[in-house]
Amino acid sequence: MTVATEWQDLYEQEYPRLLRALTAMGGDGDAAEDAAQEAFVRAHRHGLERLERPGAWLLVVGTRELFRDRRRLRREHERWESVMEGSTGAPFDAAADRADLLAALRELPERQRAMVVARFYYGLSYEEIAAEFGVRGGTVGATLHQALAKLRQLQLAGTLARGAMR
Amino acid sequence: MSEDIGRDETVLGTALGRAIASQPARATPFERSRLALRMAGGGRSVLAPLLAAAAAILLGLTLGATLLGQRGPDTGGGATQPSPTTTAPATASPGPPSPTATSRGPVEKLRVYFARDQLPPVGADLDVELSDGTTAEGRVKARLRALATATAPSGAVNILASLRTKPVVNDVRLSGDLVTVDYTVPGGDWGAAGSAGSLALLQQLVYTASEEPGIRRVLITENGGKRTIIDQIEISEPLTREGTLPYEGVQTEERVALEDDPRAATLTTKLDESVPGLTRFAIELKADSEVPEGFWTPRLSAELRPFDVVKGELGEAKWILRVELPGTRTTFDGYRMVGDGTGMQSVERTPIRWIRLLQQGPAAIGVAYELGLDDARPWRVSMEPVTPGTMRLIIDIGGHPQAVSDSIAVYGPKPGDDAARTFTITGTARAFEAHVAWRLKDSRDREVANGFVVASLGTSPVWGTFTTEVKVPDGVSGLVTLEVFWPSPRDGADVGTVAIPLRVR
Repeated sequence: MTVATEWQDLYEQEYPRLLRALTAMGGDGDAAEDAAQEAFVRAHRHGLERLERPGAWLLVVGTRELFRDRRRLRREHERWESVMEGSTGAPFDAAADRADLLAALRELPERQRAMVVARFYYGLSYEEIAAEFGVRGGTVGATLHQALAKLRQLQLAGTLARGAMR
Repeated sequence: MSEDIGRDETVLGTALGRAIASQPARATPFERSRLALRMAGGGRSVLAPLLAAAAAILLGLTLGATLLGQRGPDTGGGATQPSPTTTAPATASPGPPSPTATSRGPVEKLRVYFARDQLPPVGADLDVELSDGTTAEGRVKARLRALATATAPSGAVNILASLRTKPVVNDVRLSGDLVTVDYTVPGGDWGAAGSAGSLALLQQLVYTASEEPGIRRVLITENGGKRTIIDQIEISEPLTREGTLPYEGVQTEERVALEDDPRAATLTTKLDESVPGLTRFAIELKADSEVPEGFWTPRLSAELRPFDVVKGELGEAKWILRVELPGTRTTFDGYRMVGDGTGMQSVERTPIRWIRLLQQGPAAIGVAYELGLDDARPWRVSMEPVTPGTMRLIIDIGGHPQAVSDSIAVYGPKPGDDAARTFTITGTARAFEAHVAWRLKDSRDREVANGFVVASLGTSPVWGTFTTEVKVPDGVSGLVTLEVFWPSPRDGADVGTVAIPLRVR
């Protein structure tokens, strides 16, 4: 396989997943696409042979890109808020549940968001997350625990709020 | 490592994973991706292996001996070249008039570029006769012809003028941002030898030919459009200025931002070029109100963008580095007012051409500085406290290519310096928790000393400055290497290492 084909294969395999993960974390498709594209360019600069887990590496770098510009993030948040306002009163269904969960995800600190996505969407092990994020193993467990507790609270609050407005 | 979250949490996490997977994802095909664009030739330098080789060859040698050592015995002019340690401002003289120039034209001040030892080229203005007309092509031709006979300013050399074969500009063609320059090269031999000298010549040609506004790429051909080879370097595609720079492997940042403390502050600035190859623009921010903690991190953004203006209030530049400091104010001292809330200061010392100051008042959106630059060499923003309530923001452009990595820049000592038995390391770093480490190795690559220093800022897109003292152990002398790096929090591996060869007496 040529180097060019390897990169194309990696792109086709990882791009959709990375884009979904970044959209979930930031809430804006344009910003997510920008960050995902940049992550691949950075991967190319870095060199394929140096990427032990290319998918996880792209997630970490893409996340960093996404959160690099916090002003952009704030705009995304505002946009998301307006989308949520528009959807208030929608019938309680699975889609609303998912929207609650995704909205709750975006309320978490950046690092927690990225680790939750790495664990539950990418299916990375604690060891892999620790290696890619450059933290100790124990930190991964503690961070996920905090993140999920907060997610639970936020999701419950969202469900209750929607129930009260019906 | 235990999977220490409960079942309920796992169920919730799994539901979230499914929610993420259910989102629609726009599929940008590979062919339209930035990655494909980059792989198709958007890469930085086609000269990468040679750049590294040239840096190695130049190491520790003197400018004249290295760059001009390849000249034939019949070369004239510039026989004694001054020390390479002076960087700016550059002044050059146009040399004797060319015997081939018969037609007369208007005289204009035009910029040409000269080579420097291990550093990017330096520009200087010459009074040049436009004997080929005042079109863009005419000016490119005039610049290159003037360069062929010009005497280099202090601290630089003119490789083109030193070539025994005396290549002559035959034809210049512009197309979009590309200029194609055809040289008449007798026997197809430029007469340059060695990768260091060839690269330095190429830098001079590419920088000088692309000086014309709107031009970013230069293709050099020989003897009627043939592919040219300058010693070991085969020129098969257009080159950008950045493609000839020796900062191999160091990425040029596009944007840096901090969203921290937007407190009102008053600014003063200083432009400093005391370190060879480094241009430093320092901004001091004095908080208007008391800062209980003493130190604060201002809100700021800095962004590098391509810039091309043919004529106008802004002078010529290829890139613009814009630094925004919301909530701050300053005076226009030293700036020429060119509009409401806008001042200009001409600098004209490579790589800074000018500084534009924009101040939005009275509601004080803040101050923005725009630095007009010749090229997109690596730059970095550092921050350090000065006195309680006053912070210094330092914008460093360039630096010695051998002493700069993506996360460490050492400004002193310089590569090749003679170091005292106790010397000071100064520099800036973007390191995890501001932890910067160093080690000293002897000529047999054995570690003889080490230490660390905490930089003024860490774990931030903005770099932190550091200064520390190194005492060379007794019994160690001769050639040594100083390595400066930061340890990875993941596995302790060295990150961002720069290796600086020194000589200890």
